[in-house]
Amino acid sequence: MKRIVITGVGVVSALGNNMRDFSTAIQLGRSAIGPLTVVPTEKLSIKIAAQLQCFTPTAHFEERQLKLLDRATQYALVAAREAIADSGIEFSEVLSARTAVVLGSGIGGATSSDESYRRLYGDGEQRLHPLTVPKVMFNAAASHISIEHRITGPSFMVASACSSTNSAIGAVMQMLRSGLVDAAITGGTDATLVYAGLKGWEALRVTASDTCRPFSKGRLGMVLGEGAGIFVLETLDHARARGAVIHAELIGFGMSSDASDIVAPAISGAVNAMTSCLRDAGLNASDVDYINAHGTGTVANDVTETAAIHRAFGDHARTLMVSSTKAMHGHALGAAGALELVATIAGMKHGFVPPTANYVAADPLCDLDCVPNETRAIAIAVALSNSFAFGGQNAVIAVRHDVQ
Amino acid sequence: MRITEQEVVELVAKEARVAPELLRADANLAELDIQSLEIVEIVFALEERFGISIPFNANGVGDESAGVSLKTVRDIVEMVNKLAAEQLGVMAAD
Repeated sequence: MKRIVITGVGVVSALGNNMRDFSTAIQLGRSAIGPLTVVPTEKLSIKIAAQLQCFTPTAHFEERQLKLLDRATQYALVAAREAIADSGIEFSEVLSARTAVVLGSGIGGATSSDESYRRLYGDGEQRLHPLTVPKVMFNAAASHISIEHRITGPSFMVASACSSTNSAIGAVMQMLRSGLVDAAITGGTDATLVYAGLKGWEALRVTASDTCRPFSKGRLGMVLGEGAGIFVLETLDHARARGAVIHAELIGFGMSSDASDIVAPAISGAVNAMTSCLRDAGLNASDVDYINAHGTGTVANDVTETAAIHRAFGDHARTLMVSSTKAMHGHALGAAGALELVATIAGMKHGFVPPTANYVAADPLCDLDCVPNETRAIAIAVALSNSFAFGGQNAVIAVRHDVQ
Repeated sequence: MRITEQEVVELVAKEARVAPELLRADANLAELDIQSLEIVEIVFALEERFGISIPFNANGVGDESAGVSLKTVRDIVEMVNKLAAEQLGVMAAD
């Protein structure tokens, strides 16, 4: 079975539109949650979000291209450019055919759908823009990356709500391990701050009015964020052969379904995903230094995830560090796992453990070392990144900093 | 309201990103490298701008059987004026 390494990282998020800015913000423990201004909020109870700062589409794309690009596709393309440049990979004709593009997204081209529907049902217009279908289609982000970089291997998108990125990475890991491809562009993207979508979240009554405080006493729910995180993966052999700089090794993947409730998380499903990830990676529980938690800041998730970590890790659960970076970059739904893997890699590269920002006080039901508020200058050798989705679809990945 | 050739040319030039001076009446759209997707966008923009409905099917670009022929700028101007007259009762302009 071939080993897989991460050789390129790119990111677009409220914490910054490149790896350097994002990494600095994570290290400083800065939360990007603030007033929601990208949609009108007069008739919306959701008033806060982690929205992008200084992302100007025309700085990245020609006006003509933008007609075809939903916001989610724009984020993915910008992050992919950074990741590919970071990796230094060059797609020869041969490599191009042996490279996959597999991304996760929770809601696809939701902004474009929303705009189209408003035009039809709200404004009473008779016709839609002729490029509506290719702009809205769920697979657009993967397609555009393949087109822009002339990547001719397999490409598709994966949807499993908030675990979409980790599911995509898991799928692509199997393709790399089996020798189907030598390289892959993966990660996830979501543009979540869409009026109708926000109305849906409002109706579900799980979003916080103040801020996102994962695992903390006084937490009031999740806060939406958006963006994309894109990674260049290669087989270790391929990366070494071209002398690539390796950020980390992807050593394991675990996936499970709760098979119980469409929204309420189950402890057993989370345990199964984490333990199968440890098994896949050949890790003992005690080998893990850090978990980037799903940690949405809802009462249900954080209590369930805590119980699951105790069950999966036994005594080591009292020692290992667990933080949720969603308090900083928000919950980016299908891109959540992508931003969180970027945060984990940032910590590994720069020798720090990302904190759980906005933490007020300990909740006895979340009795873990949540790295409250302050970054710790501790090297992470091995980390897990958890993603647990609505629908009970769980996906966990394991990364190791040093390639041994 | 009168629809002039100038108005139509400006719209086509903008949608297809072609210099307006190239859009003489007998200019052939294909020779100006105006692709099928751009034709669809031009049709959409014409419908929006002039409030008309164009019976156009992209499967038959340049094919009379598809309902309308859009080979040249003149075709477009004549079509817009004809449809505007039929659908809106607008007098065709030279």
